Amino acid sequence: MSTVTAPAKAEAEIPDIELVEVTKRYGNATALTSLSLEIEPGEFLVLLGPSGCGKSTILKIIAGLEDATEGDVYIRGRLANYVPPKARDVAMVFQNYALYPHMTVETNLGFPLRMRGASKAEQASEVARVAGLLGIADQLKKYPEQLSGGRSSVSRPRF
Amino acid sequence: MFRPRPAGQAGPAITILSYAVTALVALACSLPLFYIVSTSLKEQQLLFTYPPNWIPSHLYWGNYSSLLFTTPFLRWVLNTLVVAASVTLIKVLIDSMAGYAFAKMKFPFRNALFVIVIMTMMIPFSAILIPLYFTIFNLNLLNTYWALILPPLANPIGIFLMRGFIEGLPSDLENAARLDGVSEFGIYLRIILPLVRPGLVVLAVLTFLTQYNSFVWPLVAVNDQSMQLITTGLATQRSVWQVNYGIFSAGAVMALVPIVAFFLLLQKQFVAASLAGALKQ
Repeated sequence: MSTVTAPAKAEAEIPDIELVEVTKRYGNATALTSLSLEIEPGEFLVLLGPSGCGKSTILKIIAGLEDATEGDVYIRGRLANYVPPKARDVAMVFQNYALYPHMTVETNLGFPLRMRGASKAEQASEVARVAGLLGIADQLKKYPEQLSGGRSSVSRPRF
Repeated sequence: MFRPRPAGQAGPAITILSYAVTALVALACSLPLFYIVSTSLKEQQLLFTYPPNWIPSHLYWGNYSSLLFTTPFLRWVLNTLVVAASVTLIKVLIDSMAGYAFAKMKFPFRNALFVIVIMTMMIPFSAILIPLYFTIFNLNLLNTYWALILPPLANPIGIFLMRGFIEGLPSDLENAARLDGVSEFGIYLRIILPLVRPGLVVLAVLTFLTQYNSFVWPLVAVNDQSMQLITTGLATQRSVWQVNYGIFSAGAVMALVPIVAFFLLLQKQFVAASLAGALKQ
């Protein structure tokens, strides 16, 4: 795994995300071996590597979708190993977008807000704001299968 | 995704041939039905004339009235609908939940448990008929709806079916939902169920038809005249010495009505909902 790191702006003492000696095994296969990594607030980090080298595994461990076999994950300085994904306040864009096919773009955008108990009005205004930002305001009533590739990718921002 | 091509796009010879074959198959399927309707409208002494009379010279309604007025036929229809609908509803619910667990959740011995569940499919029903009878007898449930509803729920074919459908859904959808703050049950309810609706419909139709036609178990589990199903109730109308095919045919025709209605109701669902566009590959 090679990493390319933008110049760090070491403003804060505590890194936003910190992995300490993280190892991940699937049965006998080892995906990550003792990886340590710090990401500072505002840092833009790119993970580069051939397929199967563990890039997605790192993302899933940070998001909480997979557990690390060994090692610790800290988010904003707090141990997050046992924090469920929804409580981590982390966003993730999936490789293939993972839009909910049975919901319109509008419902897709508003879904996380609805799950967090936002009111109808809040959902509507936030969806409208983001849709305007992304230039997809005219696409809101469509279903994912009716969208072009580029538009699919902008339909899954996370709040 | 398979999309049927409009007939006009194929060559004319192919079109004519496919219509001819379709017509032949339709004819072969509808002839027995027509014969049943015709038989139900004949008096008993006219049933075995030769050559057979396809269209009775005059319409005789006695078979229908004797079924409706001398037997609790409508009660049998009600019983059948109650049992078939209950089994279908409960089965669709528990089988989709079990299918989701087997397809997507990680727990110890998952595969071993699944193999055990599937292995129960290989036990012939006749082998468990008598033990099942004693089980229901000891539970004091003979001659109740429960005797007819509970045993079919254990049939694992639905779990097998639903697991297959749910396994095909991309895991990224659930992961996205997890990040969105949806609970595990919420994922099942809001993401999985709407996406496997065609599978649910297949299971519902299969289950309902199987229940509607079931005969051996209801024959054993129930002997009150008022608790019979259509199938077993009609069977009680046969005496040792003679079988009145007119009565049977009238019963069969009337039994067709709800099932045809059920099919027409769900026909649209067969065609609906595809997963196209869920993922950009």
